Amino acid sequence: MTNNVVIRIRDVKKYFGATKALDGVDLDICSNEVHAIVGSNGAGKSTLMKTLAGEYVPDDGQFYYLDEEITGFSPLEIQQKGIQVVHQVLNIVESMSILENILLANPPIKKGILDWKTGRKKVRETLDFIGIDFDLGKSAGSLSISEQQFVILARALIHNPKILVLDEPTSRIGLEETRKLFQVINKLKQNGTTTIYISHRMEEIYQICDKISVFRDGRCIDTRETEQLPKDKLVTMMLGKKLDVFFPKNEMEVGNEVLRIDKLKYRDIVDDVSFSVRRGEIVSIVGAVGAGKTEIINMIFGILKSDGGEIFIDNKPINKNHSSYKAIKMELALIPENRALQGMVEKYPVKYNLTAINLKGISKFNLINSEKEEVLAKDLNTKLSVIPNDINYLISQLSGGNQQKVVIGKWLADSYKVYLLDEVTAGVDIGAKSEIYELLGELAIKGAGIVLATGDIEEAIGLSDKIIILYKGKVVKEVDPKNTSKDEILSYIMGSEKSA
Amino acid sequence: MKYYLTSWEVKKVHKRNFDKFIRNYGLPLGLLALVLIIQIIFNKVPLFSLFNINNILLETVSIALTALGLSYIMMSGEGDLSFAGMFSLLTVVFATFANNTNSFIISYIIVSVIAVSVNLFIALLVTRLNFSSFIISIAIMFMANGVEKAFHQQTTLIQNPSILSFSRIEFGLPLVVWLMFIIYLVSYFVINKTKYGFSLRIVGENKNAAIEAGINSNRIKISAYIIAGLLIALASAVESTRVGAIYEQGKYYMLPVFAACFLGSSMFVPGRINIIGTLVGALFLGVLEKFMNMISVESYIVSIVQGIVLIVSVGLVAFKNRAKIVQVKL
Amino acid sequence: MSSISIPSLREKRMIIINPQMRIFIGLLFVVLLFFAFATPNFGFIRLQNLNNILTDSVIPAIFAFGMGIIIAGGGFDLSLGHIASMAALIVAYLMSGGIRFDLFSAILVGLLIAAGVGSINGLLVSRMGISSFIVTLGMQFLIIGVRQLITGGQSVYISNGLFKKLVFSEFGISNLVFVLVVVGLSCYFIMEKSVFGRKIQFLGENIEASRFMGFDIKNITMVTFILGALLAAIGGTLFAARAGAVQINSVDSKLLDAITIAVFSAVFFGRFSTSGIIVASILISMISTGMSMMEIKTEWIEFMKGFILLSSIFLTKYMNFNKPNGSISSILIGKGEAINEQQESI
Repeated sequence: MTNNVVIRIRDVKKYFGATKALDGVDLDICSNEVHAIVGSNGAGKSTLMKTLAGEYVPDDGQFYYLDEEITGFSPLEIQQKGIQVVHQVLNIVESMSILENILLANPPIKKGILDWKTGRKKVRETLDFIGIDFDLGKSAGSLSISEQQFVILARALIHNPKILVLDEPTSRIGLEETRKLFQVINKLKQNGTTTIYISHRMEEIYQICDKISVFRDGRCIDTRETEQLPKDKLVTMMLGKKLDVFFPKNEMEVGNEVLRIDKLKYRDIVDDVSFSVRRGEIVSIVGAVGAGKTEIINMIFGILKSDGGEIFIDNKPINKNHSSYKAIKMELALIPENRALQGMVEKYPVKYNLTAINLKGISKFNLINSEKEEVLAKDLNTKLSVIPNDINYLISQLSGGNQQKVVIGKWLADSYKVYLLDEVTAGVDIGAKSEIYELLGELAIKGAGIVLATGDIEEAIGLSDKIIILYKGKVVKEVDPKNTSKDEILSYIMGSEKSA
Repeated sequence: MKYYLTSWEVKKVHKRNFDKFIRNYGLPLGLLALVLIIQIIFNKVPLFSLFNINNILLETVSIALTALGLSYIMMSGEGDLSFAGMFSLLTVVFATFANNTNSFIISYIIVSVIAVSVNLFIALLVTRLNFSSFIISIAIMFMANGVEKAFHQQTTLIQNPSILSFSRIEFGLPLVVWLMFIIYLVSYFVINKTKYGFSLRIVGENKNAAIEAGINSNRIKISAYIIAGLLIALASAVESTRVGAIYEQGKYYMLPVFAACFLGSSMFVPGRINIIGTLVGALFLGVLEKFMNMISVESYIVSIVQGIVLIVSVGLVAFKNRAKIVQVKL
Repeated sequence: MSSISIPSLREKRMIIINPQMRIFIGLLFVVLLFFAFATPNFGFIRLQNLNNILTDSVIPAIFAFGMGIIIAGGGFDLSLGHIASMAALIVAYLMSGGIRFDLFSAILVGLLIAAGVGSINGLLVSRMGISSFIVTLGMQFLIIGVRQLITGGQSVYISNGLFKKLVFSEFGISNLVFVLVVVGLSCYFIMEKSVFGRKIQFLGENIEASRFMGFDIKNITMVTFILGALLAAIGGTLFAARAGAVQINSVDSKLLDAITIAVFSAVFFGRFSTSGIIVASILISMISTGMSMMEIKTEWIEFMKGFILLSSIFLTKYMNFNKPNGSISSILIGKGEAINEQQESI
């Protein structure tokens, strides 16, 4: 069956200096379909979408919308054509109300004055369509990230777009919300709207998308119907090579308890959480967005102050005056959730980023020895097979996966008792992911305790010795991944089974 | 769905309501309180006498107008220090032309053109070439200062009585005070009820959201600078006719102008510059200064107090939003 | 075995060879040539004159070091000029008539008080979370007030001979230059070579990341303000020694010079660069001297300096050496670019 082609992309090129972000993209998007775009980091997905959204002007090639060439590339013109893009970064105006945020692009005007009353009706309709309810007068900044994502979605849908682009929409929302989102996408499909779906998450793609286009190195390699594309073939296409071992099979000795949390509490986000980690053990914390994973990790590391409960390292309690400085002294390491903002200094070379934690080690009498610094940095860089292998590269020039390796890398100069990892493989391509998994395995073998906060259940099952499931800030269950199915874990995460 | 609130949440709600009350009414109440205190202390010289009110308001006009201009610029997301140098330069230019041409209109037009051109220049550098408004405005401040020094190093007074009367005409309140209130009223309306104001606030708060909404940030910022230019021109005309062009007066205004804006930002949404707040802030500082003059406090102590007011007011707001601030992102 | 080592020959070479430095030095020669021909009788390149230029560049450089350290840590300080003159005032006052402190004690007290002011600034910024710009703006006026209190509006004269000697020449080069060398080396080691300096720069570039790396943010910030104040105090004292008196209004041009130089080199090199600051001060000193030799009025020289500040930012746009974009550069270049891509996947 031939559906009408709504968007035709022909030989589109976009360069950023010497980097070929888009190197001749050819792609057809049809009407009434949900079309997935997948690919590793740097493959060109987001760049293409940004160009489609009118934020970048292509250096070469053509875009055709309904057989007419798109000549004006500005967000306004693109939106007027009926193309709406929901970006990865949530651009909420925090101090303004939800109502104002949804109507951001088109505030209702009557006789020259803003007329919010009229706008409310339209907004209510859209929110009903999505199946969500908001107090429109509340400030958008007071919402959770998940709710904000839906505000942005409403902002796009209120224009009744013919094309809706969703860039990693589920990275910040929980499972219930994901279901809602999928309902919306299906409804849109019935109404004749095409959805372009960019994501790293295989389960979702296979659940909702009709077609999959694979991107690699700035080109669209192929487009296939989802039913005709088995998962391993997809991975091969994305990587350009076969990937054998994904999760390392590690048999390691588990030692004494190194970390224990007792009745930890934080505001109304974390309540009465207790668990323990032993040397050589990998413990995953899973849960929906907002379940409290990041908060727990940050409390252990001293970034947040707990409102109650105790933390023990090697059976010694942590002081109430805990700080990240002290945490490092206690041999705790943390790889934070947001690598750009929290894990690295973007404008510094890889060299500086790798040695940031270990300045004492490479200095004498407080003066940094540049030779020692180079040696250490080169060492770490090579050990992690960071590409390109040049420590003088600015870290911002690396791809997401390599950046994450550098972020982790600085903690490898020394050995720590406990490694805390918060969504360590988020936004990381498959190749780098498996390398990181191997690394974690090695660290565990060396006797460290590892706490892995993750939203990826498969990752948790594949890697860990023990899984702690959180639901709304409480520990619902501790499970053994070998004996528990993915669905069971999912249902605990969604809170549908009571704690045993 | 919970039908009861835990005690922790009840406390939170009460605290939120209390906070909101303080936020919305704290500053004007403080102003009222200050006025009352003065009234009580100086029983013989009632503050509420028309003469005194006129006087105070008159003295506050230049600061209030300059602060309004600064507010526009800050609401668009930029910062500005140039007014400290430009203000006194403009008063000198106005006075000089007033004395030479004996025409209010010509002098006013010239001052407006200069102010708007300089601001336009800054705006273009900031928008097209992406320079830091903060640093550029410092440079302009020093340059304006240099130019002013080259002109004169003393006070210039306007001779022409009809021009001087600009700040003396009264309709109950002085004409310029009416002007100030009207301009503020119009600004309030524009900022809060028009699409332009809506766009302005978006540009200032989240640049990317502005792009997504199809707003031309550059155009908006340039407009904010132009408005500020017009306002500072008016302020300088008022000042020039009221007390003349005092050498380097702008420097002394740097503090109260900023303080007015930041004090005002403590109203409504904490940390957000807003029109009413700026006006109340300017009035508050004006009354404060008058008060200190009345108890014969030396001028430098006035500066000290204003400095403390600034720090405290910003400090309170900052303290509440502790997690978010610290670095210089002006 | 001494704990301080002079930069090895290899490192010294690196300082001069990197491309930005080359341009700077080139600029220096261009300006030199320009003024050589523009001044009557080639007065500009006479040895005595060059000596003067070098000497004139010392004090602004010291101020710039102070401002530079604070900027590197992500802050800003508008009160440095006033801290400088207040410190000078205290030193002069303590040595004068009634009290007769000796030179070293007086200077010590002056430095201590400056450090005190610096720590107040630092405290307010680091623990109260107030923008450093606002804090120092307010502090500026506070200091003006206090100064007024002490002097009652009059200048204080310096009669201490030893003090004056600080400023004079030995071996044909003013003692000031030696002071610059000492101060410069110290700043170099603190900012560019020490662990602490590296932390300051990290802090200035990304405060969140610094928090996650266990840096003691509050104390680091505070120390930057204290160091800035100390350097300002040193600069102010030297200025007073040179002038023979401490006046009230001699503040602003110092501030402008300091900002210009600190900004110029911070933006040009993308970080705190000791040699950059020194070369920049020499450049500005050349321009000031040259212009006055061409008999241009002082007011216009002030104007010129503001103009240079402007153009220095302009220049860096077209010289993308380090693609400055961190917080330091956010202050300087503007918020526009810094937002660009802070999201993860592509």
